[in-house]
Amino acid sequence: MNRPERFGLARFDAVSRGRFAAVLLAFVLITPGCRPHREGVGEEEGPAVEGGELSRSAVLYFESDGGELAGERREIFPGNPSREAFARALLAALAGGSESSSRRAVVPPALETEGIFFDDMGGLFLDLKGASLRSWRWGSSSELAFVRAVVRTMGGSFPDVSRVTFLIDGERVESIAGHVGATRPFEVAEWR
Amino acid sequence: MGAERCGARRVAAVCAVAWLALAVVSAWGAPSMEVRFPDGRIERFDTRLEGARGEYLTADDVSLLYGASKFWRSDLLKMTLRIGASRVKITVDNRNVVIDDRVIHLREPVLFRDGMVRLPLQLVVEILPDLVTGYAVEWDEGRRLLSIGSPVVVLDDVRLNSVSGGTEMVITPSGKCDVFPRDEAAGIALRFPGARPGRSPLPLPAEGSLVDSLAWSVEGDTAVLQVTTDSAMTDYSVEKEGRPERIVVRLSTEKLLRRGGREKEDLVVLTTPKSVSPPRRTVVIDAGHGGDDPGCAGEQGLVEKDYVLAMARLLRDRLARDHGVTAILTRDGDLDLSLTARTEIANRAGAGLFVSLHVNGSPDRSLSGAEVYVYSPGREVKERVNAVVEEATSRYGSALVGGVIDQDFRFIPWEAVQTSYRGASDKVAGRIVRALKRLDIGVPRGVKEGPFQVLAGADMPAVLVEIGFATSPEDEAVLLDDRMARRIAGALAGAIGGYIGSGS
Repeated sequence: MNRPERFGLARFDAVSRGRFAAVLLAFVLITPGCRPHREGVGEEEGPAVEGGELSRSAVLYFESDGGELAGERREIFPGNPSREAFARALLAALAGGSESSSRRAVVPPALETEGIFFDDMGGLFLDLKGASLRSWRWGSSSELAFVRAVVRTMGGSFPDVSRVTFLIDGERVESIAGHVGATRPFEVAEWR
Repeated sequence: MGAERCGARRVAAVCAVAWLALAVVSAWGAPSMEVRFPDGRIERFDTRLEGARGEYLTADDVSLLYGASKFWRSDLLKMTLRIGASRVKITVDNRNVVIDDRVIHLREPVLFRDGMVRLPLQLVVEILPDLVTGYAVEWDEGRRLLSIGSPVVVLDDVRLNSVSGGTEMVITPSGKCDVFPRDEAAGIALRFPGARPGRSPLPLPAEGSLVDSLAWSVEGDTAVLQVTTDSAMTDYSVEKEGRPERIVVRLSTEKLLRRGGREKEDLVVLTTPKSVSPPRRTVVIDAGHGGDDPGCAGEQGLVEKDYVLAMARLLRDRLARDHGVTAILTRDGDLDLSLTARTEIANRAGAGLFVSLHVNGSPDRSLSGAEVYVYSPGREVKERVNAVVEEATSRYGSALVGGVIDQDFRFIPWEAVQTSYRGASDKVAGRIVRALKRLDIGVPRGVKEGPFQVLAGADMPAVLVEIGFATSPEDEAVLLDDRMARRIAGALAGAIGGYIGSGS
């Protein structure tokens, strides 16, 4: 048995082959993947609708063994789409701790915010409740780790934010816990 | 028959080799792309999707890269991405994407695989970057590199005004921006690091303006505005204003009396680095925290503010007794004292060394050991120091330092005064680390640096000593031992006395 017979193509004469080729060419040409890129009203399914489950991807920073910070990719569900809500959800996730047992949170678990503000020049202001910071195990190391973890997380999650300012109970402070100067904003590029 | 078989074998062998080669090539060149983040970090993203024709990234990746919120309707298999002020509406298995009120037809459909929405690379690198606001996103097709830039300041608004006695140029940047003027033969070059020129045309100078022409150029990441000035211009000033950010350049036919901002902002201090002078024999010991701020606490009863006060008193006595060094305490009781007040005490005393004592804390109970910090200013302060030095040199040249360019004198902003003592501070820190190492308090952690507020304004070498971790049960037990406390005081006194006595 020769090949054409095996595939049932024995009766394929030259005319039939020509017709088949034409049909095949037409099929290829109308295949959507071959249509040129264009803008205009689509003829396929309608647009997606607003609503549904809201989330954003983010990299959160926790302290790993040896005191180094390690990034952890997480899905954050901020509840509403505002930037402030996302920043608040990020802080809550940082305070909530890592999914890995080998990493520790460097943000106090009881951390609460008075307010979160963005300015239009790349500034993010995190106004923290002083009372929620008090019971934490602060030292130079943990204060540096706190600043680094929060600034890195915020800077990575809001690419237009270039500096983060910490306020406590609505006021600028010399320092969050008596060591690292907090009178100036922390530059994201410097603390990454 | 045999020949036919041989031919078939040959065909099969060729096919097998071709298939193998194809597999190797496809595995070798598995489609991927790289992303360069603003800090220079480069990460590789796999864009291959099994069974799909094109390349894809997950919606999660896109959310991370472009700061996009995702609204996912799993029942409808539809997603809305919010990027900047735009809404991108996508439907699984559909090539149409609706961006605000535009419909864009993609070459490949959006897919849903392994529980994740997959977006065609065309959408990710060709279309979505235009929606990002506030920072630059660039796709390099040749290198397959997506660069996510730092926030870019755009200088799009430059105006020339005619004012009494000259011309005023007002530049309104889109964000916070530094400017460094440099005198040039034909006028002034205004340099704006980290900024780029806007797309709006520069204004044409009016009749009688002291500006002849304006032109942008770009040097690396610095925008440079070349201002060709009229020969009638005698003097100019450059002032930065905040809220809103504005840069005002005044060109005058007369000598300008500079107002406020410039001298006030760039408060210049003429100082002699004490690292080249014998250290003065007074040391200021700062017991950290105090009053309402207890600092760190351990489980065995150690309270930082009390412990370091007791240690400061012990250290004062040992310095006087063993080394003849006078020590002044910033607080000799349970007092609230601001961080700047502590360095003020040291500055007023004209001390040769400032030592701030602390006990460390960490959520990780396994962290232990002593560490000593020296001051490292933030980048902003560093840039200001560099700018002032550059400006002083370019403006006054050797006349400024009066022929004594032998590094005895330096001009720096006051807020960075501690940076001129970095060498001496490092030496003291090293002596203290070595002395404490001999006491076996946990794992020695060495000399570190950071923007510590209590060290920032010290006009002398300054260090912050974390004697051990109150949160480490082993360290706390050692610190609470009275005999050990005396040994620690002796070790600190030895290191400090050694530094003062050695003259460096």
